[in-house]
Amino acid sequence: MNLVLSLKNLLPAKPENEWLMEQYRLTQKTRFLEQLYDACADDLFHYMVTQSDPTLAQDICQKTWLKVIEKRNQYRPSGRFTGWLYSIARNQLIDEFRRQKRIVLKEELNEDPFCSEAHNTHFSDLHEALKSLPFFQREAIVLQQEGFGLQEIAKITNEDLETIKSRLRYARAKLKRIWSAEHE
Amino acid sequence: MNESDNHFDEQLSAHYSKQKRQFKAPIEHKKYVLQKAKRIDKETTTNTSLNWFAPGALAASILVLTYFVLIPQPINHIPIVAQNTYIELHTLEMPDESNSRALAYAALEKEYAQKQMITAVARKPARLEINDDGTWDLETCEDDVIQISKQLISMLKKYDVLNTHFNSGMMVAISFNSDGHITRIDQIENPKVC
Repeated sequence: MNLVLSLKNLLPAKPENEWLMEQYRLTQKTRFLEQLYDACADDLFHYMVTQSDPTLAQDICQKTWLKVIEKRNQYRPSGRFTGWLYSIARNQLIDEFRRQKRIVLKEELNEDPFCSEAHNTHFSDLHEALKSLPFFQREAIVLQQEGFGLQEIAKITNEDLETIKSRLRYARAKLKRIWSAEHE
Repeated sequence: MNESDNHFDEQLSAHYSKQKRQFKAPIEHKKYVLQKAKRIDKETTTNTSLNWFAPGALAASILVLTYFVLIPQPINHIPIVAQNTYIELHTLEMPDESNSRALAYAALEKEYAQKQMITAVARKPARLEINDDGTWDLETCEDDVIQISKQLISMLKKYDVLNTHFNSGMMVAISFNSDGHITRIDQIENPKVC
């Protein structure tokens, strides 16, 4: 076991996304962008699928990476690269929804965490369970599962901290209710 | 947080990780994105080479710059609207020409007056430009432009949708309802929000 750990320490560490983006910005070399893409594309795609559908998610993800290329010189490593990436993707998605005038963005104020419209949803199919959440609650819980902290989620979604906490609370309560129903 | 909560959190994370593994970004997208990046990389390298081997171009540029500095030029308003930019017009009445990117507000004045338009579903940061004719251009982080007519600005001010003193160059947050109508515009402190 010690031999394995020692060998592992000899291998070069995986470069951080922020370093890769900074190198891409400074050198304009595609190999850095490729490493970023390999590190982040699948997670970004999954985030977009949870917020829309696979077809739109593909379109938005492609546009997002093209925006990364376009805005590479504006990147500043003040936060995580993935926060910046997801923020671009979210803005692209919101714009697309506005162009399509999709009503799915309706915010449910005065949310009742004990509403029962998800009674046929199974927690084991988490994708469907997440779809039963309103857009903003789903977004908050997905970003949290992606590893973002509350402040980062607030920054990505352009909302204040208390709003994010509230959305997470409602989302978590709803998902837990679905989970509890299966484990009673 | 009790044991049940901890168990639920573990289950949620486990199911989430399992679900994520089922979704992969399409391979062809990677090829397209990298092709685009390589094209730009090549253009950047070519430009760098040209600058290194063309000092004459540098001298000519200095001469042209000197011309514009020493000889007064008329000041023109440089629009922030770039080619291929998505432009959305917000105005009181729908414009005469067919414009699928226009939103009219005259029919909604009653809702604004009665504060019924407060349900925002999305917020976007943007940079404000106040034009000479009194219209506003709001340039979003995606380089799209939302144009607001002078008449609509007056109406929005009247009903406290715009209740701050706004200056050109200011960063603002635009709140929209589900139909895409503006419900509020606020100043934001962070100029680097994009």
